[in-house]
Amino acid sequence: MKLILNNFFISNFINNKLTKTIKTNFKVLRRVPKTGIIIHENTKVLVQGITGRQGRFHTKLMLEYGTKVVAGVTPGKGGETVHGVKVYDTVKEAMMESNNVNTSIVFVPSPYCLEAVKEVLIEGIKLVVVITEHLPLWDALNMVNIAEEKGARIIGANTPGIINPKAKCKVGIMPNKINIQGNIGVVSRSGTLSYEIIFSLLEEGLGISTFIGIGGDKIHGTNFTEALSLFEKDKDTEKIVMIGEVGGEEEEKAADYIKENISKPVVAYIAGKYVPKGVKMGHAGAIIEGEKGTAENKIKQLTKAGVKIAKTPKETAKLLQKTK
Amino acid sequence: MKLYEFEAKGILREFGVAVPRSKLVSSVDEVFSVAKEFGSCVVKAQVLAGGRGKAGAVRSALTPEETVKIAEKLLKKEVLGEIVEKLLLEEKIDILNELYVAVTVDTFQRKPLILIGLKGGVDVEAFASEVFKLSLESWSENKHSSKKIEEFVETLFQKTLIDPRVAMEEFKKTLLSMWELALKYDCELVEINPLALSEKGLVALDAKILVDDNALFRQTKIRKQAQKRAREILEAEAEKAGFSFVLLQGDIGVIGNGAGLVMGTLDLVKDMGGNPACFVDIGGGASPDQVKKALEFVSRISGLKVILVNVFGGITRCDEIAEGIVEWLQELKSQEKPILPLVCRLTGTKEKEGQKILKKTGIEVETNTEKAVIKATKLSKKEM
Repeated sequence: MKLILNNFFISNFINNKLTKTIKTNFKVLRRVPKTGIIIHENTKVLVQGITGRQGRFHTKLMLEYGTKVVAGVTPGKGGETVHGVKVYDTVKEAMMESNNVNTSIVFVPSPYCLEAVKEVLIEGIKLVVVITEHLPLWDALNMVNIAEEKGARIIGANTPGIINPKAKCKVGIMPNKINIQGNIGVVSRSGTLSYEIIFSLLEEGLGISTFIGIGGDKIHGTNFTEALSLFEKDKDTEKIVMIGEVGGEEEEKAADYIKENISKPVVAYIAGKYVPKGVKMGHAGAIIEGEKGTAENKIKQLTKAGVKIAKTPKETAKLLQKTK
Repeated sequence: MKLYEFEAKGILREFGVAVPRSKLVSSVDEVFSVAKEFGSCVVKAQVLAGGRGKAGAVRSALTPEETVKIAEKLLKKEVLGEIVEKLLLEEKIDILNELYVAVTVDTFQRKPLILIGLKGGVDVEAFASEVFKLSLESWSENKHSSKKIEEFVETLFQKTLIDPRVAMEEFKKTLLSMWELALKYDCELVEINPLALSEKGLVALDAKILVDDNALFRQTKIRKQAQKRAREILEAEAEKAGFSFVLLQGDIGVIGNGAGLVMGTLDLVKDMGGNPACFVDIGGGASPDQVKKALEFVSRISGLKVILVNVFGGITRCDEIAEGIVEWLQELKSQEKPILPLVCRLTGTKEKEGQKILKKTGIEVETNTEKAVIKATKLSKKEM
């Protein structure tokens, strides 16, 4: 009783202005997601291409991880259910019946992928994770530019997706074993190589805040620089791991960006030191053209920007532990 | 996929871009009559590697005799690691000035990019300050892009940056054609370097077109060219390695000794419901090394599911065949490469020895052709 009275007195003594700021902050906190970047507790997922082999399988895994998968779309398969998730013929129908969808994951084969992404963007979804690989370059260009027009974010294409262990939310195809929350933000162009590195971090007791795969293609809906800027602002992220590879100039641009804008420690691993020029190693984006895009140049630029370079995937954890 | 110069120029011509009068030849016999018609002539080796000029694979000739001499020096010879199978003979053009133009994609900015350089025929990156760039900023679904390209060209002309002898409308038309064809053929790059100014107007002297591999599913024409090219490369290599080879459509790679036996095996495979991927005759008395080469060669065929080796040893010794197979397998294992299912049928000279060698590495040897064919066909139908 005494305590309550005390509290009552105190609150009366707090000046009006202060009470106001506390109140508004509280409101803001309730509206804004509590954890991580891009995906969070309130992420509600629509699966495009849910009845295909990959769509079906990964819907199950996402549900098991804790992701709120609320609807699926496959034209002509409306009325079915996949692991308890209702399937609709069109995105529009799916949105009408489950109006809380705010994210889409796309498993649609490359010839039809652009149309599927357009459909979901037109319906006003602001986050689209495109798993599809072998997407034509001009389709990728169209896709990211339409998204830009609509104020939406694309992740991918050809990405493993994005995962946030703290929010128990995975919009992607990475192994569910990535489930230890922590303060390391990971951004990567490769899927499996990042699993390799993340598991070596987990073994060392280092957890993940958010892992985002930006994709192995030449065009990235969300690129290194954008991911880095989000991690810089993210309260749950203290250190950043960047996993790059040969080809393109994104790592170099990221180095410039880090120099000016990133205060958190960054450790990088760059794959493809021994890739010959002009040879494409699996990923459409991993091709060295001319003098640009070599691992050597990327490592040089990143080092100049104060980034610690891991020589092997395993070394990443050690370097993270050393940095403060 | 990079197109050969003659393929790229064919597409440019289709889109109304002027290219020099030319003729594609694949033997020296054809050269003289063409050269006589053209007068002075440029001989250009058709290889995909860059830097042909420096490698001496692009040369001018004043007389038909000289043209023939140059053709003899280039045709069927190795240039920058490629065998020159074709030459493009072009009429020589008198050049007043050279420009650089390209349509490509700025992957970092995620926008289409138009490049106009004031110096053609040189390494553009070295003259970056003389290259004007138009990034199609609010580009999506090709809205207003033609208009923006036209405005860009108009600005450059207004600022008198481009040689005034160039007709603006013709220049615009060239760029718009390149833009259209980049979209139509899913190109990562359409480059004309140099775009020459001649008395008759603009002419594309050299062209480079890169088609996006991921879009080949909808680029039927280019895909057919790609398949034809892959087949020609394989067949040329087989010829060099000393065995006869024909690429077929299926998924069972058939290797045997003697054309008759291999043909018979192909028929059997078809009769059993299988689909042969190729005809390979390693010839009589093949050495272990040749067997290994043939196996390596066949494994490169895309979509292959099984390899079927059918040997009836006469002059060919089964033990040597077996040794070749074992060497191939060991090499694959040491390189940790995937190993395709292999069905072997060995009979005839030294068959016991051959079978023994293969058994040691765990390969069950068939002695009957039909049984071997049935086994291979079954394996090819298995889900992988």
